[in-house]
Amino acid sequence: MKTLTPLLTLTLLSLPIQLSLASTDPARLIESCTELVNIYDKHDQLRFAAAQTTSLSEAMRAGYCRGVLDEYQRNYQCKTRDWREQANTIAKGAHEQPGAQDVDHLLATACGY
Amino acid sequence: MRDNPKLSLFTRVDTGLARFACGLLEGLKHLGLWLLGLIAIADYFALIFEYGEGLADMALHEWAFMLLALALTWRHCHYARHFDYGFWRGLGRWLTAQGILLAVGMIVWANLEFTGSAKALDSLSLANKEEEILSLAFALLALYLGAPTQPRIAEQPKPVTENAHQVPSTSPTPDKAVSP
Repeated sequence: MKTLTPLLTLTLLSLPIQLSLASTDPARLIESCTELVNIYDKHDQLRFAAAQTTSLSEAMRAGYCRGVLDEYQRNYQCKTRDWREQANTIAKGAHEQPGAQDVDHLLATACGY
Repeated sequence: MRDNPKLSLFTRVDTGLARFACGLLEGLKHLGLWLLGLIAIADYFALIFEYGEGLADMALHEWAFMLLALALTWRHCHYARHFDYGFWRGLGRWLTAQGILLAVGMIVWANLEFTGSAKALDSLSLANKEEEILSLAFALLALYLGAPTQPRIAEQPKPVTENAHQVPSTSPTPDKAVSP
């Protein structure tokens, strides 16, 4: 039991660290939002034949972007509530100004700050 | 031509050099088209397996493309065997078709970039999906058109000699002269 205690303590301590180290890779957010834009024409309208032209990987990435945007909107008051428009801002902005961008900057820009 | 005694040494060297240059350029053209074809095939794979996640990367339309591409490749092999193209010539023709497609695509794209139409197309919100589907459709078209449809060396018609004698027919009815 004595040997298990430090191990258990370390495991418990590492849990919140793991949670706070969620993916903050801007490239991942950008490609995910690009996929989201490719799937939806508007926030409530799928692109023509989206179900036939979207793979599992693309759908997972689009879902990641949607989740990040929803969570950001939950914590911050954005100028627009339309996640499709925000995703488009991230995808286009990254395309026009590649590099030197972090996730917070991308999300703030998409939010209208 | 080379054995013609009327040609001077200079003319023979000149024509020989021209023939060599033409052969070299012809070889380079084929090599370039084959390389472009290989690049095109690699591009299709990169387009389909874009995230490197195996079958999870494949959408329904990409499955359809793969099946059609396989069917068209089988058709190409079948016709190449039927028309006596051989393995390397058949493969060369298959790659050349894709190479020509890529070369034409690059020329069109360069023209659009040069005239500034590419930005206009971007502003029309043409998504990557449409471009991808268009690329795959053109690849299938190139596969279809690249298949051999006639013998590589056309059969020469047999020369008709003037003094060829007419073989009498073996039919029971006698040959009749056509009256005017």
